[in-house]
Amino acid sequence: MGEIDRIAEILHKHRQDPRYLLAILLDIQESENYISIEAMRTVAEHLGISESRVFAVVTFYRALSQKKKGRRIIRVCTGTACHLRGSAAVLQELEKQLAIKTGGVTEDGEYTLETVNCVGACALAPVVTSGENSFGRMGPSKAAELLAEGAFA
Amino acid sequence: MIEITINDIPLKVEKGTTILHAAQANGIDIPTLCNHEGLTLDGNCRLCSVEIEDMGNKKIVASCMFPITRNISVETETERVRRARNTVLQLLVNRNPKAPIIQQLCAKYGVDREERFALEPDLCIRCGRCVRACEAGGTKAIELVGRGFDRHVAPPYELETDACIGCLSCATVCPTGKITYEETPGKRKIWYKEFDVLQCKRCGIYFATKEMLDWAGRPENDRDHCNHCQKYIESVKFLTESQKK
Amino acid sequence: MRFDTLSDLKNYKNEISQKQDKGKEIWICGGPGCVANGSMAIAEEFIKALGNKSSSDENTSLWHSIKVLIRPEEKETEKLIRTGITGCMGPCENGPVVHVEPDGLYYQKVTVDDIEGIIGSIKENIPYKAKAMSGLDDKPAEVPSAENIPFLAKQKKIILGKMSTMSPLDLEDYIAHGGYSGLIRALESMAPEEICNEIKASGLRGRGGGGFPTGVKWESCRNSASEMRYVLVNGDEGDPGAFMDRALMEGDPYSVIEGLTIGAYAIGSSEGIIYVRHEYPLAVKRLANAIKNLEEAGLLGTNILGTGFDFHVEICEGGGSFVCGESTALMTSIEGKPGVPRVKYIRSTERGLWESPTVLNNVETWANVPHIITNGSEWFRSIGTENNSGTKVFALVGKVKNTGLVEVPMGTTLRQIIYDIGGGVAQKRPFKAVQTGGPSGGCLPASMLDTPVDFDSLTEAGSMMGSGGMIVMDDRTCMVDIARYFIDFLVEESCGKCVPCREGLKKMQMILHDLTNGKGREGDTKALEDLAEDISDTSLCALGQSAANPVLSTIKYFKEEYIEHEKEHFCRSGVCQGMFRIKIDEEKCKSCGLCSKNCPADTIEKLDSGKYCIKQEGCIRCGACFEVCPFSSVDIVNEVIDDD
Repeated sequence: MGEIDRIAEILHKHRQDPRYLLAILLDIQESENYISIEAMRTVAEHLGISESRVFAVVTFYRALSQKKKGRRIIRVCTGTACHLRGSAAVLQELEKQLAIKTGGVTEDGEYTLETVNCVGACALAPVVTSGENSFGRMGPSKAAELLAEGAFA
Repeated sequence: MIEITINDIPLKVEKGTTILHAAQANGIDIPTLCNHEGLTLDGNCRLCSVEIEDMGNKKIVASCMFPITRNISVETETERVRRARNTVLQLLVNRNPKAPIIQQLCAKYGVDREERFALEPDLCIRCGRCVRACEAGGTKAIELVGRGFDRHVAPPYELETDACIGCLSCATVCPTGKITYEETPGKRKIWYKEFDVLQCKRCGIYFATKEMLDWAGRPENDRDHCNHCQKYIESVKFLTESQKK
Repeated sequence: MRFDTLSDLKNYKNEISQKQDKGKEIWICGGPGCVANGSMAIAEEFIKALGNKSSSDENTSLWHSIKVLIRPEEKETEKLIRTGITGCMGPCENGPVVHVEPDGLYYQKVTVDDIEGIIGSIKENIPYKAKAMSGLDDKPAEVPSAENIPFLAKQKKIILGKMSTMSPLDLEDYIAHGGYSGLIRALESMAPEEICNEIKASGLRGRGGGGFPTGVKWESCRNSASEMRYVLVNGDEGDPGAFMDRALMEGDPYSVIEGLTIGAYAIGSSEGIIYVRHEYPLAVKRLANAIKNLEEAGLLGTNILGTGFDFHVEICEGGGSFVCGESTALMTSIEGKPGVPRVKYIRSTERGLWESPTVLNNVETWANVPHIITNGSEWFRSIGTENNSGTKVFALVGKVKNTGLVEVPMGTTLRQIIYDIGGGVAQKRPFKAVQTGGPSGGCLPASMLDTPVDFDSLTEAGSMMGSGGMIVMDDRTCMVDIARYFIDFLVEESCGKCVPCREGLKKMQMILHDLTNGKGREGDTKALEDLAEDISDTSLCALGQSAANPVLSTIKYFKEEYIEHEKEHFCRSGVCQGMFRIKIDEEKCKSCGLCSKNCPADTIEKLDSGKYCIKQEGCIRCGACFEVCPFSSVDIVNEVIDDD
């Protein structure tokens, strides 16, 4: 099934009402790892709204991206509790290990490194998440170890 | 009618009138930027801030959007208003030093650009008048995109778009001259897109793009004359015909 | 299970309450902290140990039979036992937590190796000592029940009450724990106006931070003429360091929806929307499961319990934007647009979502409603203080010993929360400040620790209740850096619509970055203060209006740190890079050598005197020595030290 079919399926899942624009785009993001111009055009036409509105929504929300993200998204929590307990050093170490800047994708397309404001696991600060898994009490070396072990994959 | 005071001057205004309108109707000057009488209100520039006292509370409000619904007293020149206004201008001139309207306002209120906080000069103040004009026309070809400091005006995907009809409404309402276009006889270029501009066969002016006439629903076989001449020709025709009768 | 009439549901509730022997229950905490600590794997092992092969999340609450000893008679009896995953139990620091009912025992830091022991102890009817939760003096409690555990004993759990003892998935569990008594009472014996009045009389104030009286909001919405009205749940918990709403949505989704249903009935709405933050996928899943179960049970949908009341609930997921927690931005976002706030000189209760009258309340506010309707406004007012009735849930985090989720009556002091419940500052370091209210709140110093925690006292002190994040900071926290952290956050999250917030925060950020990079200039502190005041005066929405609070409150209480950053380019907390030196105080040094062993730069040398000394040339100022020195002999100083 190609991108066009997958998007058609997503559109079919939601009611054809502009209020579901964000919901549809979030689903496309999850399925495709990004939102292409083609996808935005299709959604605008389907919902009967302007392309500029779809584009404005895509550029406003952080969860949506126009660039293809990695297959796995590693998120370093930079919430206040994690900040206090040293999340900046963890982020730096992961940037070094993955040889990318925050927001970037590794050369092999495997990982995207991002920050997240708070994942609500403050007791275990600093926290790193990958997919639905959270890893607590992180430190630079522990993060590097987990990455090497493939725990984030 | 509701009784209010502006700068201690007692006034009677219709319920729902904005403070800005009440002030303007009575010759009281309040500077504005994002406000445009022909467009919907947005209240984003905050330059028209005034201080009101409402049921014992003093606060700063945007006069362009604040509807008068009960007795309030309004002050447009207190120290707090002056600070609010100057801070807004200061922030604008740091980023938009070359916009003539900003220069004029800064001169009027005595605000200078701060070298230390000078940002890369830009003409856009993100007031969104262009977007509101485009929306009012129904074309919705441009939007404020991105967010925060990076918020800016753009057509979808920052590319040429079918939605734009080249009507220049956006450029007309832009207060700073950010939105520019190229116009040569028969050609117009705006938002990355080139348009053919039709010439009036009677008076010779270049009067509209093909897309504007498509949008207005003017038949393809009826596009020889500008609006003005079209009306003229129609009235001449009407008069001759009625004289015949 | 389906209830077509009020009496169907009432009969069902009666049946459950008459069931005498409820058997034993082993609950494994499924809160975010414990899950990150591996509690799901432990739950699976418990299920296996009890002999059930199926172990999916959905099938955890099956009953099994075991033999339990009756004491003191020492005879055996057949008991039913089940195990399952709950929402957050609270003591996150000591997770994974296991809770045994009906004995009410709590076990901490449980591993797979403890499973046999815990099941054995249930059979023997005695506490499992090895992992008993800490009592007084940090020793395992003899009987680890809530009253013997300081972290739990000093709390008053109403909103979180059910969360340690039921499955967030099962509607049966929720009803068995008193759920839906509120809706029954509302539909059976109260007119909608009466409900508004009851909420007004209870004094309930918005738990999202604003503290606006909930009943007044409802009444004003009810009185706005319109065919359509909406009730919304604000689950866009964006404050970094706060997870109360996440815990509620994941751990007790039914109570939020019951509250919402009562509210809808009270104001005359037939459509509710729960706006949940994108970063909380499990909350979305649990809420969706609850909605599905409630629709099947006839507690949501058309003609609820045969009363003719229709109410539908939908979930709307956010897209990763903090400003969407602001009421008008949230509504714009639900409408499928960028979450940009609107000027609100006209209240949402008159013109809100799709221009219709709308009541928007926070998750915790809604969760309070069933309790108030069930127990009455007078009961609610008996908890808390005069103008701040009820309890408040806090996420107690940062440099505090017992991090976790706590619920206390309004008016409890900061000191009681941080010291009596939280056990004080972690690693016995000195307390410096507590931050409440997230990026809109402020930092309060030790001198303010006796401030009662309520909407008015915190605002007066220069902070704010906010949604309930409470972040403890020790002496290794730089207050200028904290202000910079929050302004960085807000610059990132500002929608960019109005000039003061978009451009003004950027300017504040530039000053704060200069201050924390050793480039502070004379007058910066004053400039920050002035700018902060002007931004809060002129910004369009609450985000901008309160954005200055972290700066203003830190300047108010920690001005000396700002002045040091500004004039001496010195950071006393040892946080701002290049703005401090580290030195070992020879007087205090006891020659243990821990610092030298832990120095990653290998730059701490032993002197002939036996004392240790940091060679400044190699020092990377990481602070490792500072952390490990048991004698506090490592100092942060503002002087040029020559390596001899």
